[in-house]
Amino acid sequence: MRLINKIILIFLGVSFIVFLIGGLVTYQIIGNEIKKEEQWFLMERLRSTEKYINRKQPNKPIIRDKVMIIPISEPIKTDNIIFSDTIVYHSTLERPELHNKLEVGKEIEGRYYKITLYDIIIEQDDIIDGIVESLFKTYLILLALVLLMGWILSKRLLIPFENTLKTIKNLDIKASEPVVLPKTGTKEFQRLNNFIENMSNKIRGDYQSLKEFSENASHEIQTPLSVAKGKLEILQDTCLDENQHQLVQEAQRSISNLSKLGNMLTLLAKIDNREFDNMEKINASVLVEDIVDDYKELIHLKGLKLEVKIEEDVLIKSNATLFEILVNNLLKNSIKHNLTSKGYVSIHLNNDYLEVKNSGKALHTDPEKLFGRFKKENHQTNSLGLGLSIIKKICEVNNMKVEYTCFEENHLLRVYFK
Amino acid sequence: MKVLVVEDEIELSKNIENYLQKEDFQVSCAYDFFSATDKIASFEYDLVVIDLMLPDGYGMDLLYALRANQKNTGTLILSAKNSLDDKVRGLDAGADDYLAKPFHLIELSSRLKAIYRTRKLQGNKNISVGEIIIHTDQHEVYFQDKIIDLTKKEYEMLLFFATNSKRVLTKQNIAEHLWGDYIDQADSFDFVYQHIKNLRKKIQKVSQLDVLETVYGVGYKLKSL
Repeated sequence: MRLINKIILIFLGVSFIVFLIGGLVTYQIIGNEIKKEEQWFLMERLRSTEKYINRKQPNKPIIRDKVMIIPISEPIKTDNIIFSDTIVYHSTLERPELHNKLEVGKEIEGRYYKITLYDIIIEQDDIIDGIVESLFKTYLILLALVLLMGWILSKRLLIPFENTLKTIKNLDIKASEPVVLPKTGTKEFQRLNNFIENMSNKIRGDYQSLKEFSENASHEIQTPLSVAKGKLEILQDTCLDENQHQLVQEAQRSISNLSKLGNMLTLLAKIDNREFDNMEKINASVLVEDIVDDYKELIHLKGLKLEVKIEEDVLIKSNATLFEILVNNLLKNSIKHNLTSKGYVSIHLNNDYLEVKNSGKALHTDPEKLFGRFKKENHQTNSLGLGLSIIKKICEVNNMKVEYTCFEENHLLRVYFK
Repeated sequence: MKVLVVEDEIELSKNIENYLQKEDFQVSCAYDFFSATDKIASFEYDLVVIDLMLPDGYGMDLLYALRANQKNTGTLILSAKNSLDDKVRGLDAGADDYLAKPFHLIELSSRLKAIYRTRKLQGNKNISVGEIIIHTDQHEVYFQDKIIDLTKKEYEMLLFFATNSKRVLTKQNIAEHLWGDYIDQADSFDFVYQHIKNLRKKIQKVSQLDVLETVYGVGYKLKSL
């Protein structure tokens, strides 16, 4: 439920209760006021009745519709005005009605009279009806206005909030520009915007420095590795026995692996940094053919059967360097993870996709999982587990889709150009 | 061969100095941009090895300075960034070769020798291994008058042996020299073995000589003929 609707509902609920209490209070006040008014009216009538008695000085009781004057011979208590409610037959309405009754004893010109005055009371039902009706109508007006206002306000007042939401949704921590949200006059939204700006800038800063760190680290690692490599080589030149040579070579191999790892991580960081953003139309056929030529020797040396089917002039839109790395990695993988005997590599390029199919040991894991960094099927090999994640990353930035399927000893990697 | 090594990492500089001296290079070192400019201006060098990242300057500027002075000096760039950009820019700026860190010292010395051959040796660019002559201009190998027909890789391998005739070359050295990054190490040793086998056979067929010697557990070495 939208915030504005919630507020409206709560507001309407509260105002309903207020209206109920207000109705009761109004009823009370109006009732009292009317009673006072009626009593005042009866008092007025009492005065004119007194004047009338003064003039006529009646001996007999006078009983009219709303007046009763009874002369009394004995002295009675005078000026003791008593108001009470009673039910009296109403002559014009022709039915008993609730009346206000005033009873008093009076001494006028030495005589005593008992005066009783009646006046019809405005019925409570009528008051309630009136109050309910007027309050109900007011409530309806209120309802209509509140809904209208809510609709307008939610459109206008919440614009900055909607903008902020949109900005957050499109937030890219890799972006180099800081997040700037439009100024708003609403204090709460301004606070929210400030918070989001600060937070996103902090996140971006952290991300940037982390990225820079990993990139620099992978660079800086190369120099000490060169030193170590050189020292080992100088050591190799001294008189070492076979065993010692073996140890030195193993150390050399580890250094090479570490250096390769650094290079691959740098490459991944560079792709993330969008350093390869310039896309161009490239002739994939020529490029793939050239790269396959480079690998022909290795494929031959490994005793693999090579099958190449490249359609001519396949034009794709991609970054040339990245595409080259992609094809290189695909081929390198297909050779590296191939079978030791009777293996094959098959390369197929057409306008829709580039497909590299090769034989290799059956997989035990989900092939899609191998796209993750440092994920590898076999932990014994000295492969780094970054090849496929580089392939995946390159496909991502070049708007391509990569699919890896494995059927028994056949592995198929397909890159769709779209 | 007089070489100037411009490298700010002193340990690495010492490695290079130490190694190249054994290869009969005359080596001097500069540890920063300033002293490098100074030395280049004051002395004549046959070869300059330049690290691109120096504490007080950019190695590429040394290249421009060298080219501006029109000195016929061979240059090789070292870079910690194994990036195509650096490589292309360096070669564009007139560097003769590019080597990404970490590198084998043997690779460095081979490349320096190759640069020296092409730049400095005007007449005789042939390298001889006993009676086997490598014509580096034509990429051909002769025994006496007979040509030894080698593939590109076999030729490169023989040249690699010939330029490092006193050394034992490990399979890793050879693999990285021949294929660079292309190859996975696990596979490379078999390939090296096959190439060595073929090279031996081909030379033996023409010359009846076995030029290579297997050093068990280490690698291969050119026989002193």
